[in-house]
Amino acid sequence: MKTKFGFDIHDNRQIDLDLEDTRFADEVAVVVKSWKACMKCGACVGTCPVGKGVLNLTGINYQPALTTCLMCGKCLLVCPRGINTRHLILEVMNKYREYGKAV
Amino acid sequence: MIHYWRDYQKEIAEDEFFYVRSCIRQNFFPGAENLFIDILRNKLGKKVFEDADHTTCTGIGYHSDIVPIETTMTVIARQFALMKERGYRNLVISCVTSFGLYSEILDLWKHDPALKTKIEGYLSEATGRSFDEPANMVHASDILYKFRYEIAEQAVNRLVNNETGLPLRVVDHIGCHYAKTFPERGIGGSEFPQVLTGLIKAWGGETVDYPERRHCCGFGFRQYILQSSRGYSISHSRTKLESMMPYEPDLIVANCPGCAMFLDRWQYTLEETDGSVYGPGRTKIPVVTHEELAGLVLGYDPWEIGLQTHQVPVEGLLDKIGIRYDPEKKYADRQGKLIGDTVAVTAIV
Amino acid sequence: MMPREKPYIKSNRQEIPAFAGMTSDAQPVTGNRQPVTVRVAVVGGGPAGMAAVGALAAMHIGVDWYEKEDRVGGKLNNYHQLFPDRVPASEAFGQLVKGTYHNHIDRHLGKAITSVGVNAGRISLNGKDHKIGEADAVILATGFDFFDARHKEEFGYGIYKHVITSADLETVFADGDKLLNVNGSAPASVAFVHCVGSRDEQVGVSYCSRLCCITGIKQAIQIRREYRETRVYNFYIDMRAFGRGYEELYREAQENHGVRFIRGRVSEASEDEQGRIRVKAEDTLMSRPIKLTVDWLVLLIGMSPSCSAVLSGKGEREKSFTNAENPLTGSAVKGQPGVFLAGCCAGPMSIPESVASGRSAAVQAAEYLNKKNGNSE
Repeated sequence: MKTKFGFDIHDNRQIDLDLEDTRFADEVAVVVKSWKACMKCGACVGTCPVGKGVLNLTGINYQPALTTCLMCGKCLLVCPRGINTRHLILEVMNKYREYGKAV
Repeated sequence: MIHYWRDYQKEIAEDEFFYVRSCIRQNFFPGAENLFIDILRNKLGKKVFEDADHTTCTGIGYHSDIVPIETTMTVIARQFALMKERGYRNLVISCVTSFGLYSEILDLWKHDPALKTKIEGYLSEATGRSFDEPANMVHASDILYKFRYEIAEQAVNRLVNNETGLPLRVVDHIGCHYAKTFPERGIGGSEFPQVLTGLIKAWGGETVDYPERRHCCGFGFRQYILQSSRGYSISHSRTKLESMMPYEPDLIVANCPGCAMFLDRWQYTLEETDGSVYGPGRTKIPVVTHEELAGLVLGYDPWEIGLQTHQVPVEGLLDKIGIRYDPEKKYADRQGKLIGDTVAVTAIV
Repeated sequence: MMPREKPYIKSNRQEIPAFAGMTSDAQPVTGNRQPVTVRVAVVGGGPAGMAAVGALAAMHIGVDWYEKEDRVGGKLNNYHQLFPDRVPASEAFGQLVKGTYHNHIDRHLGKAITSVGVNAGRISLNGKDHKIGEADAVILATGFDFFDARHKEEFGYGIYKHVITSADLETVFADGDKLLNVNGSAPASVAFVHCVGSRDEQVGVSYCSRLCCITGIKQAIQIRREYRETRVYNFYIDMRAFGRGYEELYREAQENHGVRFIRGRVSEASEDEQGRIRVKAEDTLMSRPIKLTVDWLVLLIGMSPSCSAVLSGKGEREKSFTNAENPLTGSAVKGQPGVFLAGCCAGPMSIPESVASGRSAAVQAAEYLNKKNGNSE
């Protein structure tokens, strides 16, 4: 910055879907096809005993909170679309490891 | 009753206008309002009256939560009273903020006549005056729209590139309060406003329809008034400028004094802050008001109408249109004495 | 639907199959020529009207069938495939039109009824400035109009070439046309906007048109089937997949066709420098605004009423769906004895609902005539 005016220029919170990279999510869907049927009802997050919003299905990606999953399977019981959420969590973590990042 | 944009037309009076000025326009574009009056009186032969007793509409204070609405209403009722005393019925408003505020107040009175009665009481108590609502109330750019072909007939210059013969690519920016609150009071409504497009087309240019065309300029009264919040304001201006950049516009024309000021001044600030410029070939995009655009078309001297007070230099635009000007006289006063130059205004903190 | 040129779409329109344009001698006529004493008028040649005339004729009631166009079938003629089973519209038309070739049915094509009058048990049917016919009872099956998407100015329909309606897209499919991008190749992305002219006070529409959600799902799948690489987005407020097989089709769109459903209404569309369409919305489940550029923006337009104008003689602006006297249990119109409603003139309906409604109105008209002529048990 050349000149200080006493205020900053902000980037807005807009998500640019044109730049969205869905490769990770697509690869997960090859193994757990049913996750695409998610209609984002939030039952899985609501019932999770960890209470950290472990699963955020608005966009499948690795999230640090996943490591706190107890693998209890409660989310599996409540999903109205019958998504195998336990399998999904494991697969997201596996895929993340494959991408060469420590979980 | 549902409309679509072609249905949004409005009645604009033919003659006998009572003109109210804008706080921001007369400060930042000091030649523009005299120019408007001069065009109306001397080019179009209209009767225009300006009252020396006229005051601010309180718009900036009102939108910043400093002035209560009853006060604003009483002040505006007083302007109506001045108009009545001078025997005029057609109100022409220079400022888009004022236009929005006047429209809003008339609408409030329409839905709540008791409120109007209350304000009549306040005005009478404070000043002994009484008022009538205007028979016709328009923004100044509406008047130019109505007489755009008459102006085109007298045009000395056209909005055409002198060298290539192609129409100039013009970004039109409509102040939010011109039509977003009351689309039926704006020509073409708010999504596809025609008020400035009409001028641009009639005078030979073409309008750029870019994605963020309807985006607010970023003025946002309570944002720019506090220095620490000005970042919100400038970020919106940047969104607009980034969106119009690929179209390589030759100029921006705005009918709102605040928009014209921000789109002009913030280009300087953005360049100073992170080096960004948005015009073709690393130039900035000149910004003019609707009156100044009409003035250029009608052949007024750029320095007579105040174009030297713009932050973005207009010389590139003047060259493109083929308007002659004397570079020596840019910062000269009427006696020919230099009153300053660009070097002197770089240290703004 | 406003007429639109399609210079950008490669046309491959097939000749209309013979049964689509019905004339009075196009098919062998069935039914015994028995003397009929009463006549019922049916106004409208769409699915509800076809179902009603077929049912009336089967009950040995004489029918005068009025249709403003020169062929029957109504909007069905412009549809490609019907949800949820993707049955070709022409097949459904064939099933419905079969029942209308009957001795008791007189067809009056190209006759627009603009008002009906009820007077001492007789119904008069009137055109713009003259009387067209008379009947003992009338079934109004005047259907609906597509919502005029130009009223949702922020989407730029009629201004931006690559903003079309679901009705336009259906004719693209029906005509076998291609939906290409500005460079003449397969589109990279297509977005659907739900609730255009439904549930929107801005355009004076308080009701849900019900069928647009499933239309969006069906058309999204159709695009994914034709163009495997095209990303397809549906922007919805609520998903209302209410009918038989609708929810299943919704899931199929997500799971098998990779259609993306985003909860959030598109608030604005504009054209970018390449002529593609830039949309703004909020992903309300993520609480963040989004921006997306698409090759085509498809507006899922709702249904607007077209019938009460016939009943009351009101102008275009005062149109609304007509309410039956007891909408839960019948389709007779209050204060207008002998007038019955069928299909979408009473509110948005799917094709099976319209057909059921048409048959139901026929039965109610028959009951009414029986009672009126003293034949009731």
